[in-house]
Amino acid sequence: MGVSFFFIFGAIGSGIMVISALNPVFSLFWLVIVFINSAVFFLLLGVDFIALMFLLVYVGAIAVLFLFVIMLLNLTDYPPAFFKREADMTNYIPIGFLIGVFFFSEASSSWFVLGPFQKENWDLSFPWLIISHHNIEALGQVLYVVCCCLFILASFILLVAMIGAIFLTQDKAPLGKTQQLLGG
Amino acid sequence: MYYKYLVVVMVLFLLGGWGVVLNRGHFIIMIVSIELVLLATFFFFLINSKEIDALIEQVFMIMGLTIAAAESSIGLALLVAYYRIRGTIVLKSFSSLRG
Repeated sequence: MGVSFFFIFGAIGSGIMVISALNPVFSLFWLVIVFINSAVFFLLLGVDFIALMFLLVYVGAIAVLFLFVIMLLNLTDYPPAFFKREADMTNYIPIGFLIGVFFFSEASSSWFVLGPFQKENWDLSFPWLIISHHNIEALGQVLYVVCCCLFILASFILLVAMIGAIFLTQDKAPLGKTQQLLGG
Repeated sequence: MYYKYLVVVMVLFLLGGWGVVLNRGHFIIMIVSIELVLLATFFFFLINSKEIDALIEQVFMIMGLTIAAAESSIGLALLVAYYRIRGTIVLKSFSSLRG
């Protein structure tokens, strides 16, 4: 319980630092710390393959992509809106109040049903009750057999994203090479 | 027994939405906040998957991970294209991308 709370508070505190950092590079590093904390929490939850894939995809690919774009575009001189004097946030009060009431009612309803604190013990090798295999084994059996069409569809989505990114960022190439004639 | 961690889901989701609202005009931090919202939804699916012993939510989470990767790459490509045209990333003139 204490271990999971340590990583949960690490994730939440780093999330606060993500949205309040002045420099987007620092914000991105705090985002990496959020992802590492939540991946360790997923590991404690027993979904180890997804935790490791989370580290691989987010910290290895997406955070580096963001960092590369920030370095490429030199975006470090835009302060957040709430540090400016003229920022007026009073427009957001009614919708913020409604959303806050909604989420607080969600949390309090779960507390009313189950109670806020319960004793539990973590099991790092939790056997699945329905399919009694290891996590990656069970996930592979579901993903490759039952959801194979979804798997192929995901590969097509990644292909479309790759073609779109290349098409959006390429320079307009000239149509062909033209010969420059001397003395003409 | 894992349902008390839904509070973490709620806090991360609200932090993501709050980051979008507070950092209006800064495109990179807005996309990073949307990543926080996606992280909160992944938390939600994994906690529910552990709770009701259903694997289909983990499959759905893998599909969501694919969509998140595609979305951030397309968004950053749009940002690079916009910066190449306008020389800035101020969000108030984003409507010039309409063509």
